[in-house]
Amino acid sequence: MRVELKAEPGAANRIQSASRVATASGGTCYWGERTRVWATVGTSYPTGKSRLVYSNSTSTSFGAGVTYGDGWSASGSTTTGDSWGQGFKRSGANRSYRVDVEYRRQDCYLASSGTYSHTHTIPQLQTGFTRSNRLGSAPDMGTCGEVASGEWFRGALRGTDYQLSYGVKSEAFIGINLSTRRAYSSEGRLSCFYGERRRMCGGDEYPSVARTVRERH
Amino acid sequence: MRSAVVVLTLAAVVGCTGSERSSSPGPGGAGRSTDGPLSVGDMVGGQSFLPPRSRPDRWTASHGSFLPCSAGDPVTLEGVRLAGDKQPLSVTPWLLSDTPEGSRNATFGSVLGSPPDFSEPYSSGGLPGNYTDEFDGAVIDDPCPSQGVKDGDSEVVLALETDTAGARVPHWWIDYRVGEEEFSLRVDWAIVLCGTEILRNCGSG
Repeated sequence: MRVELKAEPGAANRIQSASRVATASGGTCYWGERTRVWATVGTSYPTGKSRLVYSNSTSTSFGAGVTYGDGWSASGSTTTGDSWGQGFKRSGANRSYRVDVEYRRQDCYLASSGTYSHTHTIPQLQTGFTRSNRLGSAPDMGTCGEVASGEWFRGALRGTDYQLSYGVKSEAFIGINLSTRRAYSSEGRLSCFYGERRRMCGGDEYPSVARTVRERH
Repeated sequence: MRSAVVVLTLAAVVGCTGSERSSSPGPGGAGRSTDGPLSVGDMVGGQSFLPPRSRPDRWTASHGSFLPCSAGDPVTLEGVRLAGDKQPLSVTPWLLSDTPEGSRNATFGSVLGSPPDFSEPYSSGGLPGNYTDEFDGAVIDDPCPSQGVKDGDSEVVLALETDTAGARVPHWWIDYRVGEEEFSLRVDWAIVLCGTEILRNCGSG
């Protein structure tokens, strides 16, 4: 990627306010402002009740951002351990599950001239705060199978992770939303309980390996 | 789309207990390698079944959606083994194929009752198709990934019978061979039949 240098942004002031220094290839980066944003780590569309359980065996990746020139773009991701654990309450609503993530800004300067080069925004940790958001109608998913009355749960060590390209709600912070990717695990799982038989559906994949699932009557 | 099943011998099922690492062939699987070509899809999770409302002394639950395929040479199935301390009274592996076009569902899923007729009074019926319990000796030659039973491949369905106590199978294995080499495939999909001794995942926790 071509680096378009901005005018010197007052590096001395930035360096003074930064708390830690990181060395990058060809330059030096300085930690700066911290910001917290919500990130979606799962969705459910139940017929009965469902919930998502986090555990310390789950890991979640959140997108990182970088700005060269005028705008922000996604730049890889960082995995944070979900060591705090969280069981969302059971609910019959269509909803998304969100966790609070702290990002930190990192401004980088060229080693040769000390001129400002670019800025990263990098996920640091999950704070432990959570919320769920109501969703509208469930998306159409046509790969279905019958499910007997009882609990159906997904905890995939090898199956397809939950992914959402716009999962991190960072638009107000940097102008774009970043991605989330959450691995299901044996203890960090999505479960749906219903006392009657129903159908479980995935999009183009079978529900047992699909990124997202929904229940239908 | 290829035919998946060649029948050779009678099904045989061996139960076992204990917890094993995912790389282990499990009790009864000594000498078998877990590094073979058979796959049933990378599914990890589970399903619990509530007992029929009529509360029969014995009842059967069937779980499918296991899509066998080979990433190498054709494999010959040799049976299934179950993990867990609370075993079902019996388990019968079935192979489902030839699901007619226009079926409402794309995969078997899970139902109360047993193949091929699902004639139990508490059963709501299963996915239409050709069921065979001649699992041992069946040859799987569908390449991975399986296209699914609706597109001409086969599906493994386990029928588990329990009494009122219930049963819990945290994971299970499919034994198979390729030529003279013996393999086991661990399947990390739990099957729970709720009962008086099985309460977890049954609506109470």
